[in-house]
Amino acid sequence: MTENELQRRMFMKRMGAAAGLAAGTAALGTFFHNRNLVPSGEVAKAVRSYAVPGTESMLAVAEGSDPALAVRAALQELGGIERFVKAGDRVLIKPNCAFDRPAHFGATSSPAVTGEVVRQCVAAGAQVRVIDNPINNPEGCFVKSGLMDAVGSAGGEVWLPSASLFGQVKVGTLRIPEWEALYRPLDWADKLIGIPTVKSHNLCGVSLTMKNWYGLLGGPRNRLHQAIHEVITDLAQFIRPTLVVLDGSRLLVDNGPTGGSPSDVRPGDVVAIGTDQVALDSFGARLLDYAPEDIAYLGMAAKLGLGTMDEAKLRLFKKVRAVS
Amino acid sequence: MPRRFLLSAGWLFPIVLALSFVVKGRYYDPAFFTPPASLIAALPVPSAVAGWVLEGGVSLPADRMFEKINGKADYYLQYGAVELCSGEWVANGQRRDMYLYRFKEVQGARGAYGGERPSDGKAIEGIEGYTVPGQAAIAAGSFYLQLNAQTAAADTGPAVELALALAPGLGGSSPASADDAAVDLSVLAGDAMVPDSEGFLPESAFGFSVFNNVQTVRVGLDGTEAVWFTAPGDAAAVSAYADELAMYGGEELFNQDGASGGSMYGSWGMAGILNGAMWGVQNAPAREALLQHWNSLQAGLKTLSERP
Repeated sequence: MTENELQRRMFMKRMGAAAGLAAGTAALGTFFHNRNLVPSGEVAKAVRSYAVPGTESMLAVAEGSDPALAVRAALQELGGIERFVKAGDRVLIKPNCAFDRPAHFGATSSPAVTGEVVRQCVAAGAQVRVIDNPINNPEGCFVKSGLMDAVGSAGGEVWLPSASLFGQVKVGTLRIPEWEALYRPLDWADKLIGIPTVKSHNLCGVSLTMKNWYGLLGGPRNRLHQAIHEVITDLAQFIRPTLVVLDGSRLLVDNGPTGGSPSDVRPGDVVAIGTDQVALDSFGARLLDYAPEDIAYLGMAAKLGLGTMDEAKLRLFKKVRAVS
Repeated sequence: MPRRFLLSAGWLFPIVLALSFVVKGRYYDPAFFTPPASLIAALPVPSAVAGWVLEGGVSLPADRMFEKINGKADYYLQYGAVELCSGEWVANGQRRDMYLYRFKEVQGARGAYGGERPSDGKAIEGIEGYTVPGQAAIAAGSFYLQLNAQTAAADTGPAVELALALAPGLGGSSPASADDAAVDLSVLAGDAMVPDSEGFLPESAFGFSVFNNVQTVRVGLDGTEAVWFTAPGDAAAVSAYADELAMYGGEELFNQDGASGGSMYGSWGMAGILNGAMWGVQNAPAREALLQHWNSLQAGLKTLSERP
């Protein structure tokens, strides 16, 4: 054996060992990465559809300065809450409670609208729980937004998020095939109702129905902002709700999603309730002076067949004035 | 043997490095969510004042403001905000959320405050501040303070009392009177001011690097609008402005009574030293309109300076 052969053999041996070590550390990294909420290896579960058959492609808009009255008027146009919620149902409600801001700043769903939706479901004989995984401290968000009191006084219960409620779920087809989400509450529920507020958003233009499902996710959500339009479209695939109550009682027209000044907010005096998320978000975008076609995620969702931007193509579209 | 040992240590290095990333990456940085005690201790307000007690007070530097005001941080940053202090003031069952912004310059605080002040804001007597349903706000020194109630229907009285108690500690109340009147553009413009048109440009205003920390107001005279402005600067700054104007293709340049001006891209502007400060007019549609605004500005300053 020559000296050269010896060096080559030694070189190959060391390179092999180095490659093995690199692969080992990569495997270790993958194993430990993001283990903050969900144990590694958990199989992603599919979340069921909460839609009631025969209620697809519907949207009812009620205008009026009394939000509770507007909720009732819009529901009436859709056939009443009983068409969607039955006695004994377990109803999970997802408002936008992302920030510890008082309600009049428009960053969170209004207590009047949320309370009325809870009241309607309770009156229909359902058990109601309200949940969100906020950006700020959850309890602080529910208290300061006024939702804690509104939900409690309407006969519902606020379900504060905790690590044990999360599980890996299947989400969408574009950017996040699976993610950590509030799986146990979703699994508990027979029906799911979203109550987004109408607000501007510094990254995606508008934050409405589909974006509201963000609050069902856990984990490092800040990463999702890097491809926000695709992620929001994934969320529209992820959640097929029973109903969405778009709270336009006041509009956060500037500096969303948080805002911070009463001058960022203007009265909206409208509530839209429906089952087509694309139609609802298109309606909300127009309230904020956006053309739906200019919101990238709406185009993506429509292309995937998740709904329509054109109200004329809805199976049912009604507009009423909510007066007592 | 030493050579073999060194080689072994070399193998260990990537493992240690990788493990450090793995261990570090497993945990959130608690400091990201809970600011360190040093930030809490550094608040520019006392922990108790006039019967109010501050709970949960924290301070966020400019690059972390988005944690509290996602979507709104850019608004304050453009005025030169360097810190956001937040917390909750509590007294006798009353609670008010505090959002206290500190700016590099007094003008920055005034600019951010002026930009948010709604036209229907009710002035707070004796201080530069206003109330609207659910909020009281003041500009004091280099601070802009907002006190938010839990509901829009809440009495604004307690928030005003708290704001008045906090103002002296924030570098004065900056009332819109006395010394300040001489540089208050809204007072200077008077009835000719376009409503809600006060502004602040922290740097390179109107495209000139020499105009920084500029206060502006839009003024309408005989159907022509222009922007009146004032900025820190002396005769050398005015000269630098004239140089930039010439360098960037300014036309019909002129000097008049120590001021310099000209037109660029069809818009006329000029700047000069008046009463020891730099003043100017920009965005006038024609030379005649520019000079009309300049003369009006000069006359306004003279009137203000002659007030007892």
